[in-house]
Amino acid sequence: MLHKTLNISTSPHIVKGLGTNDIMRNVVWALVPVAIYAVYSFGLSALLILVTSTAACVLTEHFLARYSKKESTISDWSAVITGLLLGLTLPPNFPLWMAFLGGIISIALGKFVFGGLGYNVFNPALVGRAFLQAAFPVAITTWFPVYAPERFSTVSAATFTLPFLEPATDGFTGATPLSAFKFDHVTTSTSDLALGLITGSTGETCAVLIMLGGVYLVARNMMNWRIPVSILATVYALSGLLYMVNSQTYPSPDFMLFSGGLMLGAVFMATDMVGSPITPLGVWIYGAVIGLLVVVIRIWGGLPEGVMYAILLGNALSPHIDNLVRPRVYGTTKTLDIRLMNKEQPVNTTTEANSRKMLITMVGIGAICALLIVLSFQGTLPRIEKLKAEALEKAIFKVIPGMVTKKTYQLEGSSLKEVTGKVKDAQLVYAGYDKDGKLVGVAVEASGMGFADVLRVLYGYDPNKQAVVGFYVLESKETPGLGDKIEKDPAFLSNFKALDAALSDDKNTLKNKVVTVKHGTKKNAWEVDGITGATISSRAIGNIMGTSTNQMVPLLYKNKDFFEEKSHQ
Amino acid sequence: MHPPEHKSETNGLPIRQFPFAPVIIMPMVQHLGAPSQIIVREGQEVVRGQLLAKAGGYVSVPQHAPVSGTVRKIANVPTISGKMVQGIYIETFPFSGQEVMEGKPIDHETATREEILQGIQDAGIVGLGGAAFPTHVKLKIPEGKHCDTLIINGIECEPYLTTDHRVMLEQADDIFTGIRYLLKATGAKRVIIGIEANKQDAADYLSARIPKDEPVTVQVVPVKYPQGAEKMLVTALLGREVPSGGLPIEVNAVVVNVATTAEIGRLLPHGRGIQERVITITGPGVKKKGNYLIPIGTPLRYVLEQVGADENVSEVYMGGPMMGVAVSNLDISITKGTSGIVVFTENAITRPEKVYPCIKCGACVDACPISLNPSKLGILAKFEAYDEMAANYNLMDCFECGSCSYVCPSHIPLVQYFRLSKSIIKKRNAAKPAA
Ligand code: SF4
Ligand code: SF4
Repeated sequence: MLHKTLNISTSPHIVKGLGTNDIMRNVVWALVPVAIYAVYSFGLSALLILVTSTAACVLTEHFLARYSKKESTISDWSAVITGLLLGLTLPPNFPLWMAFLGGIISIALGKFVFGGLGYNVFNPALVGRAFLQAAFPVAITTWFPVYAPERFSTVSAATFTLPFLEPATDGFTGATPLSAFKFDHVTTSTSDLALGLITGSTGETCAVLIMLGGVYLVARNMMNWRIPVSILATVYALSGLLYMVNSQTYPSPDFMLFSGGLMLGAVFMATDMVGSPITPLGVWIYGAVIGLLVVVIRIWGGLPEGVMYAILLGNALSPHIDNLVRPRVYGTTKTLDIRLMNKEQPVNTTTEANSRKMLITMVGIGAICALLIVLSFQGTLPRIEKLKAEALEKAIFKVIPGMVTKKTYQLEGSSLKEVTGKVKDAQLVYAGYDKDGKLVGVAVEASGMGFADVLRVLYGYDPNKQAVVGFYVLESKETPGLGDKIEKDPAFLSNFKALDAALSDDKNTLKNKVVTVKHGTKKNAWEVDGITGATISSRAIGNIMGTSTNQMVPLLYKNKDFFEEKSHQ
Repeated sequence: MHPPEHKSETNGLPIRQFPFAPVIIMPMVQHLGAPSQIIVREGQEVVRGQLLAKAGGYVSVPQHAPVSGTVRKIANVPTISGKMVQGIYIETFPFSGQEVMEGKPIDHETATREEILQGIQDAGIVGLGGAAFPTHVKLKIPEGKHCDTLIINGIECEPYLTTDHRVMLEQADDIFTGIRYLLKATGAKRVIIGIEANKQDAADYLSARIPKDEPVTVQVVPVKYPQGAEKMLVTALLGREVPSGGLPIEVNAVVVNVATTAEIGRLLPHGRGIQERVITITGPGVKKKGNYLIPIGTPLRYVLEQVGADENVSEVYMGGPMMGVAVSNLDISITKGTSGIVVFTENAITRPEKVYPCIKCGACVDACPISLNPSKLGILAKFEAYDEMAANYNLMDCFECGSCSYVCPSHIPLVQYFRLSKSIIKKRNAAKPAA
């Protein structure tokens, strides 16, 4: 033995043993329950999304490493994390090709251009997510119901959309894609949110599982608990303060905490070590800044996903935060700018040059992103209009049972004239005829203030029956799970199958104005039975219907013959 | 930071005398400073304790014969750094009783401060904790400074090592004698023996034996690597921070290792020179682990043969696993600064080879005892921005404790970077004409 060559190592000769790949692998483990729950609640579509985004990230990582002639870095698991996180922030019915593209962007633009793992400034998954938000604003705000009964046997029609074709629209509930996300409103029960009973992005729904994953990582010393704690505390404190000031306009702090992507972002994305500060105090500041930005963006910014932008901004700030709060070095009195005190020392400019390069890269990326956003907005505008028109068309056929053909009329004063094609800014009504050309109803659009925002509805009126015969919510941003029952609750919708709209004897007003009554107290045919838990939203519907029918029904009735005649022309 | 201690394997084993090797190799550089100057010639017979070489200057110490024997050869000998230095081969008399030669005793009552410092230098004493800096230089209080507290360092925070622990349990008298010399030499008014909480038995033992009327206290500090570093210890015991770039004397303290103290207490009353020291030999690759009193100059190969090293031995460290140096050549010998020999077999080494990029996890920042930012320093080192490392990130304050490398999950050899960077800067500064 004593002639063996000895191995030379440099001190320390022992290491703690916790490897970077171990940390990354454990983050993946911590995400697994979240992913499983996502698949359980959203079904096959969600599974496909997660698999696709993860595969895209891993493959991109692999090929970029090969292209740059470096050793493959897949084994460090970081690409898997990026892929999973990206998938979890996307809607479950997101087209797969877009998810794949997002994965490529995450790794290529979010990580590789910076020099790979450890050198990236931003959380790669969020870079991908931001790109998708900019490029596909429609698809990324199209939601899919949670616990759909057929979720394990079928996938959402949007899932297999071919590249560059517009996705099928089965998931549409919010018709204006650029509008704010649904979750920024108040009344959803916190426990439902925490347990993931509410729809949302694939993996953002179950706050409890996300927190469990975080606790696991913290217990294994693989996550800095200060980051989620300071983010959540800041969000809670700040929104609590606002709520105290005015509980009407501002959402409750509980709601803020458990809604949307905050939990996933705070626990799994803001804590990404690469993008967060490393000084102890810096970490607290970083968390507080993100928390502040989340509240500001959500409440005043009008941007849908406040969390994403807040974290990206936090990432950009973290090197500066570190620089500002450098701990005092033992035996020195210098705290802040040591450089000033070392004026006489020539400072090597290598790192300065590097910061400059970094800055140029970042500005470049910013410019490209801005351009992309503008282009895709312009590009999608006509499509959005088209989708809207299609949705309306479908709705008309829904609210007038039995109709086969449609004619559109423009209202001018109290007379009507037929129009074809596009008409801007005109009050339109749509008459529906059966196969014999007999008038079966007239569809009318109405709108009014809902609980959260404007509600747009479409209803069908049959002059022969003197009743409303169909109803459809065109646009609503009511709270998922509660206010949005006005669109889904079958009992509520059955109110409008035969809602009395008989005219008074002088034919100028309704005999009885349509109103919403408290749930279970409907006695008359002209009353709408309200929804418990969505009182405000269902009342709003009653008001809109009442006002509109009162104004429109006499007019339409008068023109009954006109409609009939038109049919034969 | 708390690396696994592995001290229980040897801390219960009393110090045992090691056999005399047939050949002793004495390098003339065993300390920091100028090499010692040989005063014997080849073929000369020497007696154990006899002067072999005199100090090569003020920052240097003499060397004494660790055995009685014959000077066989004066030639270049290998050292742990890989450099060859002048040295002496002594063939040990096989049947000698190895009596130690007496010198001129120094009495701490009557001797002056200067006489004591001279006596310490003459005894060839250097810091036995590992640094091997000549003790008399360290004890010399600079003009205009004064020392109020003498700290005896019994921390021994390096994993595996139990040298100081055993010395405290077995050489209390020598320690207290040594303290008397040190008090006189430094002019300190009080003495604190600092001991880590994992050696409570040693603390109790010493506390119970403090001689009457001596201004000595024993203070137990929490277990924490690198608590034994001078600056850390000064802060832990006195709450004073040693200024950047300065020595503990800047805050009126002097720190001396406990084994060094014991050695002073043992040697000076007899006017002897240092010829042996206590060394912990341990690690997964050693069969007869223990604390041994080993003659200086004993070849490492002989030591390992005697204690029975595992045949799968892969790495041998002189000193502990945190700050010790890996040995490449078993023909080097034990020196005054060798506090331990740790032997690792292949399968005991768990250190992964793969280095990942820095993921900014902050573990190193948390671990650094002096609040440096090793992550940033490591990145700068890669860019070779040495001047910026020193100017803006306090590189020169790094005392190479290795905590950052130990915790780094990406296994970046941070402290290795810093050692290199520091030596490059020192070279540059030396090359620069003094401004
Ligand atoms: S080796 Fe230097 S930088 Fe690393 S922890 Fe120790 S003192 Fe800090
Ligand atoms: S411990 Fe290693 S990976 Fe973590 S911040 Fe320090 S250098 Fe980077």
